[in-house]
Amino acid sequence: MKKMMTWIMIMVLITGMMLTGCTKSADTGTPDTAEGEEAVKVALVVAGGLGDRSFYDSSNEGIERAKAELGIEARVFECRNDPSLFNDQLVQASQYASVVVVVGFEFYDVVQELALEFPEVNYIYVDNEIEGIDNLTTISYKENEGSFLAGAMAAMLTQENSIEGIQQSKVIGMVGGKDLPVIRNFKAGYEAGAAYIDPDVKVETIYAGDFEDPAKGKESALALYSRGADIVFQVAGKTGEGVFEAASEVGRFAIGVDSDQRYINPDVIVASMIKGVGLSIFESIERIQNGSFEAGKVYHYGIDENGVSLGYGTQDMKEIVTEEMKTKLEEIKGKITSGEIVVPEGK
Amino acid sequence: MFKELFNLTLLQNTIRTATPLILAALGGLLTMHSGMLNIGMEGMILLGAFFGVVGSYFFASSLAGVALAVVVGILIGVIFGFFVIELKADEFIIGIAINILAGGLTIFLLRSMFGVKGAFSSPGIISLPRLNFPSLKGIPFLDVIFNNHSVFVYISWILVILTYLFLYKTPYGMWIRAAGEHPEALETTGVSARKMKYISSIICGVFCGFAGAHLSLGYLTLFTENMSANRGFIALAAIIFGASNPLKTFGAALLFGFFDALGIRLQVVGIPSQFTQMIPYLVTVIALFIITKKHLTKVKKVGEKEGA
Repeated sequence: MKKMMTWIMIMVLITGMMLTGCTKSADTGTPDTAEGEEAVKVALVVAGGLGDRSFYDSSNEGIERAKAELGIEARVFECRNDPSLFNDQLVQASQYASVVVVVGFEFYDVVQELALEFPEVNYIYVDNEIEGIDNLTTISYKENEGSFLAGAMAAMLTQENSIEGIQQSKVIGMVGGKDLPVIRNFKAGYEAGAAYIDPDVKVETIYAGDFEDPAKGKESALALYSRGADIVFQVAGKTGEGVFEAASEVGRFAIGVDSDQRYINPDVIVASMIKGVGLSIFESIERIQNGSFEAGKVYHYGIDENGVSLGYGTQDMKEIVTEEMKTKLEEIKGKITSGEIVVPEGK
Repeated sequence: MFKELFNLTLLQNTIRTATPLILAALGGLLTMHSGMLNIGMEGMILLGAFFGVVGSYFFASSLAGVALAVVVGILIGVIFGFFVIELKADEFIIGIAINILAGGLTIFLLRSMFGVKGAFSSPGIISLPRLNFPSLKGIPFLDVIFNNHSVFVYISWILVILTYLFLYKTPYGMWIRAAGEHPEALETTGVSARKMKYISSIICGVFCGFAGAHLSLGYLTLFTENMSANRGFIALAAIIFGASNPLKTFGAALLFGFFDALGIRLQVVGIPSQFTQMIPYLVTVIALFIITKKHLTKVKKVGEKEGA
C-alpha cells in the first residue's frame, strides 16, 4: 500500500513537472482573416525559451508583428535547451503550420532532415546558411557589420576620459556565450571596428561557456573590468544579465545585444547591437504572402537591409553616446554600405 | 603573464564562485552522513534563488527574501525526507524529481507572478548587504580578501566551522552519523534514526535555501531561469571530493572555485576557451584519482596487516 502511494505520488509529481516544464505557449490569438480566407499558419520553434530579452524574444516580435499586420495564425514551440525536444517540437510545428520558423544554431542537422520529410512545409531557418534544399530558406545576419559599429563606438567611448567610469587605459572587452561561429563573427567585427577608430585599443574576449549562467557572466565581466576594460560587449543571452550587473557594480559600461536592451539598466548599458531577427522573420512571412519569396535561398541581413544596427534606447535615458559619436557611426555605416569599409568575417 | 593571472582578483573571484557551492555542500554532506544521497540540491538552490527574489521584492527587504528561501528550503527538506524516509522511495529518483520540479515550478511562477519570461530583474529586488571591516582597511592583502563581500560569504565560513563542530562534537552530530552508518545500533540507544534523517534533510534544505538566496540576492540581484546552472551537482562533487568532511569539502569547493576563476583568466592570455572550460573537471578527475589511489593503498596495507 505504502509503495503504491509512493508511486502514485511520484507519478503525480512527474506529470506535474512535465506540464510546467515543457511549455508550449499556445498563442492562438484572433487573426483577422480576410473574407473567410484561411490564414497562413506559422510556427516558431526556438531552441531555448522566450524571455531571454534578447535573441529569441526578438524572433517572437517578428511573429507578433506578422500576426498583427499580416493576419497570420501563429504558435510558439519552445525547447528550453533540451536537445531531446528539438526533433519532437519541430515535427509538431511542421504538422501544425505551413511556414515553420526555426531559431537556434542547434537545429542545424534536425531541420535539414525534417525539411526532406515535410516537403510541403516552408522552413525558414534563422542564423545559418544552408543551400540546396528547396523548402529550406536560411537567413544569415552580418553580425560582424553590426559589431563593427559596436566596436567603433566602444573605442570612441574608451577614449572619452571625461566620462565618469572611463579610465586612461584603452581596453574594451567582450563576453561571449560559447565559442561558436556566430559568436566569433561578432568578435571579428567588434575587433575590426575598434581597430578602425584606434589601432591601439585593446580588445579582450572571454567566453563564459554558457548562455544561461548570469553568475558566470558577471565573473567574466569582472575579470575584464579588473584588467582595465571600460566597456564590455555581451553576446551571451541570459549570461549577459550578469555582465550588466558587473558593470553597475564597478561603475563602468556595457553594450547589449540582439534586442535593444538599454532599458534593463540605462545607466550602464550605453547601447545595444540589435540583430533584426524579428524584422527578417516578418519580411520573410510578408514575402511568402505576396509571392516574392525565394525558397531555398540564403537571405543576408546586414547594415544595408536593416538587419543589424545600434540601438540607443529611448529619449528619456541619459545620453552617454554623444551626438558627435552617433554622426561618426552613421558615417561608418555609410562606408560599410558603399563597400569602402570591408568588415572581416569570423565564421 | 604570471602576474596577470595570479593576482588578488583571482582570489576574490574564487571566494565568490565557491560560496554557493560551500553553502549547498554543507547541507548535502549532512544528508550524506545520515545515509541519504541528495542529488536534489540543484533544485533546492534554484527554489531558494527564486523565493529569495520573491520575498525581497514583495516585502522590500532582503532579510524577508532569505526568510522565504529558508521556509521553502525547510518545506522541500521535509518533502525530500518524507519520500525517502517514510515512503522508502529511491533518493535518486526523488532528487531528480525535485530538480525537475524546481525547474518547471520557478518558470511557471516567474510567469504568473511577475509576468515575465526568462529573467526578472528590478530595482525593487533588495540585495543583501555587503560587509566591510574598517579595521582591515588599508592592510593590502587582507583588505581585498576579507572586505566588501556579500554577507553570506562570511556566513558560509562560519557555517563550515559550526557544521564541523555540530557533526563531530555534539551528540546530535554523532547521532546523524550513526543514522547513516548503523541505524539499528542508534535505535538500540533509544534515539530515532528517522528523526536524525529528518533533521539532516531539513538542514540541507535550509542551507540550499541560503545558497539560492545568496545567488539571487547576494552574488547577483536578479533571477533567471535555471540560474543554479549545475551548482548543486558541483556541490555534490565537492562533498564526495571532501569525503563528507566539512573542512575538506570547504577546501574542495574553494578548489573548484579557484579553477573556475583561473579558467576565465586563462582565456585572456590566449588559451582557447574550450580548454579552459575543461580545467575544473580535469582537476577533479586527477584529484579523485589521487585520493582513491591513496585510499586504496591504505586499505591494502590494513588488509596485509590483518592477514599477517
